[in-house]
Amino acid sequence: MMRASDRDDRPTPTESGFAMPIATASEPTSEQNSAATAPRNAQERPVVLEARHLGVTYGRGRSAVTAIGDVSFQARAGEFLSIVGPSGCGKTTLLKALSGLLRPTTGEVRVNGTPASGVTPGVAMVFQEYTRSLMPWQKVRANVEFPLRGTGLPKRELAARAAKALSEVGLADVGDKYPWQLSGGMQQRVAIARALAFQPNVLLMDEPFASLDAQVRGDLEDLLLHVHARTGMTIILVTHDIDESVYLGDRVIALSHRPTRVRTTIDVDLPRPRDQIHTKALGGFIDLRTRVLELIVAERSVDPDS
Amino acid sequence: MIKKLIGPATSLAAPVTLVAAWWILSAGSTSPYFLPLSDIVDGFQQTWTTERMEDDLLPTVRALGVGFAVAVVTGIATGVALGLSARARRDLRPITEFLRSMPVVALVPIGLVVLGPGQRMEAALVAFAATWPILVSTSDGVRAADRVMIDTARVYGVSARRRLLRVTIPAAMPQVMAGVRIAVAAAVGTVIVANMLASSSGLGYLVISAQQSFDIQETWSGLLMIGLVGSVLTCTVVLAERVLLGWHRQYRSLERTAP
Repeated sequence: MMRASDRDDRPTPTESGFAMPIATASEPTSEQNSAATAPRNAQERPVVLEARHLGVTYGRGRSAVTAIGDVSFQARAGEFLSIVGPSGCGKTTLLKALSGLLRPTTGEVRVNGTPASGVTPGVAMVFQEYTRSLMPWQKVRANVEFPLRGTGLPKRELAARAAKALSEVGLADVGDKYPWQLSGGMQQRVAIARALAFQPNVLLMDEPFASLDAQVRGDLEDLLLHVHARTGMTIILVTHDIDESVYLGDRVIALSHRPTRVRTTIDVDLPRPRDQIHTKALGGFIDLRTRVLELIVAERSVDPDS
Repeated sequence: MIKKLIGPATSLAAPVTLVAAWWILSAGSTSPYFLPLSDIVDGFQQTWTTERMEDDLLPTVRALGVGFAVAVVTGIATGVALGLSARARRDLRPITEFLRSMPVVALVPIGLVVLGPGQRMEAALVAFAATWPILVSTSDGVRAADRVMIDTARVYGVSARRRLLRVTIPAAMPQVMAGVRIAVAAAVGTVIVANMLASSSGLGYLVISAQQSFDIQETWSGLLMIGLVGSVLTCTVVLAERVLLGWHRQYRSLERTAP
């Protein structure tokens, strides 16, 4: 039987592909370096989160709908994983299963090798619907601090973490505003700050930029790259935007139509740091996005629903 | 600065005009039923002696306050429980719908039999009448609490208790307070009816006995006091709402101005 973990054991892409980031890194700070070199020793890094034969079926008997067929993959420490799939392929269901909001019908989620029961520990999530994810009765700072409250963390530490996270996303001075007094892009930054302050093992993102306009989306993609480079956080981002998946990810996992399986995993050997203008003009970028697009279009044409 | 003064000024215009019109139009009235407003105000001062307040106002206010407080607590507690559990909602629905549609006036005789006359019976009836609007709107509010918000808290490992107290209930608060506001009218109405039908003191009793002895001036005085009591309770609720839901007023005004 072909297991998804075998895919990860494939030989790493050419050395030259991964040597580039170090050579072209314009500001090789130590933090950026660690993230930039991540792909090269990716196979040595521990697996932080693993999906093993995840399957989700809604309902029973004849009316049962299998949303997720069999999905397996591994996310290693510091890795930025993009997950793309054709519309209606159950991307959100997959993230819900990964986060433990939804109990998978089959298979399991492992965190640092331990099977997770219930809500996956050490996971932060950024939802697409920022207006519904932030609490309108709490000011920005309280929203960011909320997940940390009641954890026994001293108040000063808590406030310091929130302040640091807010300045990390460029919102150091809006702590006393209500989220709904901010623009959409800023609200999603607050949601990202909340995730950062939590210092998760893995950051899950469910189409986080889908409801923002193109320019703001670009800004936030770059912000996310910056945060990833600085913190070395493991990020799993689900998106329907193919450019976004290639632009951000170390690897792109392409999903099939329903019942969802992993169609292919594609390594993104584009240099880091990346930027909207130069990275997207690279031949490698265009090749990759074409490959992913072909896969998705092929999946769409066999979609039983369309 | 000027805007700040004009705001309250215009909002006072309507009541002031109304009272002034009443005063002027009724000034020369010789009808024994439509007294000049000046006579009613005089009568109000004469009626509401300290003794009268102790005998008739205080018992009613106490029954109203106790009953209303009980209604707020039971209404919110039960409403939250029903809002959280679809099953409880379904199973208890026949009972809640039956009790809800029971006119409180119809309960006065049985209240009198079971609890006897007095503040205990009045408070119980007030509690019964005022619980329903709070219960129903709380349950709706809890049910409508945003799934994404609750899921967010769950992902972050927030305990069920904290999720309820810090996410679900605050999210339901605007609807809870809407229910509480509706409950004010139900509570005041109930206490007055209970007074009228089954008491030998209290505001409602004062009004009805004054009317029965053709003391029109005192009837008006009682009526005015009932209005005042209702207004004070409404103001209290509105103030509480401002403190608890300050964010919501701004939030809604922002939504209205947004394109």
